Amino acid sequence: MNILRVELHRAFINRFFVVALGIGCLIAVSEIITFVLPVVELQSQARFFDDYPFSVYGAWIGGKTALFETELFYFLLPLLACIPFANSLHIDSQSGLVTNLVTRASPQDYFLSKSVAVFLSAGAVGAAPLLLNFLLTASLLPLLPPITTTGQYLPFAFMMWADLFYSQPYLYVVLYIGMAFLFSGLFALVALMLSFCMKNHFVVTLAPFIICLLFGFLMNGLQSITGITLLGTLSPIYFLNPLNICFEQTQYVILGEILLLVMAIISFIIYGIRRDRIS
Amino acid sequence: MLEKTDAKARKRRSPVGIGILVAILVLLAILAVRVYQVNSEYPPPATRIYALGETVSAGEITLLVKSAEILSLVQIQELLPGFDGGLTTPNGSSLAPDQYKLLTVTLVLKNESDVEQKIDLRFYLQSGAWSNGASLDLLMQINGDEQGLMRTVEGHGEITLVVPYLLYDFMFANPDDWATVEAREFELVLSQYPTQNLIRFHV
Repeated sequence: MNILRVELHRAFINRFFVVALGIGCLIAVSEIITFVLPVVELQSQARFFDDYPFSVYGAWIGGKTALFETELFYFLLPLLACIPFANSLHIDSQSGLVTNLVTRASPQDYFLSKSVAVFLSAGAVGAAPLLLNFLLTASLLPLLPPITTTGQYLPFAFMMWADLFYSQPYLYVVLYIGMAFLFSGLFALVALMLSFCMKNHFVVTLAPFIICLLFGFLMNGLQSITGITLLGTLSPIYFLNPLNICFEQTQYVILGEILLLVMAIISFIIYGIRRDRIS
Repeated sequence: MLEKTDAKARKRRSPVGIGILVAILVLLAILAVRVYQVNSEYPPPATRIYALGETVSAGEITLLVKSAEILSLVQIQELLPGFDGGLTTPNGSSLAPDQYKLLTVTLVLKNESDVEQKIDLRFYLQSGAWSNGASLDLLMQINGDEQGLMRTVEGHGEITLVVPYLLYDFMFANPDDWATVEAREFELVLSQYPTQNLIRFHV
């Protein structure tokens, strides 16, 4: 328990965590300035008679199509998630700090605590900017339920979770923010896994981002060749972004990818725990 | 003794940590006040739901939906003898007859005043996440005129119109939704805000 506290403290109170969180929050606030504030200005000028006022669900960073900030945030997400603490096992091993830490706890406790701290810090970096953006947008625009006939909202009837969006929009937002948290944590745990086989900690940090990019390119290429549109939605960079068109089948792909990643990570954690030494 | 001192030191919070915590709490309180203010200014719409055959009064005009039905290609051709079914998707490819249906709403509009009134019939139809506007081409073909969606009703006059809405299979999430489209509940949206007036019906 003590080692978990130490690892959590190291994960959350470090300059890399502040930098990654800062970049994410900067993008989130930038969307408020470039999109939400002009919408608020428009809203205050127009006295609505029959038109439906802009609502938070159509204006937050995950609510309106073709926003640069949204594209940038989700593109950088696998990288931002790994900046705070994902390479720390590698650094601890290289610096010899691990020897010092395992005098206080067993290698198993150390490895488990490390995994928890890596997952939570990365999840926070992925979810906090979205939450901040939603809260700031909610302080400027009303929480009116989305209505499909207004044309203000993206999810069309054929898109993933469209019915949920129009019936329980807050749940839809929670799902997307939750997915950002979960996948950010998983990206960072993938980097942690790769610490065992990579020699450079920069490569460890960059690896999930590069894997996601290559996977996205590969799937887009396959989609062009085969004409199967579902293939283009398989990359996390694509499906985590609520502004991208995902189909109902995509949710099974997401579930499959989560299970696959969780199984791989659990296997590696068990492998790490069973080792009698860390480095 | 040494362990107790360590524990006390650990329990002591740093001023920076307390400062950050206070700042977050103050920010959250300000946000909560702002959320309350914004939502007081724009409250959720009051919803009025009407049934099929129920009269909706809008000033000097009254409106009712007499009937609604979903038509297949054969039924559309019975209604419109010249209709060839040559509909296309947004990317230009031809649609097979089983890929679209036409929902027709028969509206009765009455002018209760002495003077001629113009009525805008840009009413959307919605069902869950699906929605569509009226098909202007088919509206004019079915009703045999070129007036479009702006209709004129003489003083104390009454008109009956068939307003058509196209439904395409690619607008729905999965084949089951399309196969059971006739069982869905539809709503004709007469107004959206501050009062949402809907005519809710099954075909």
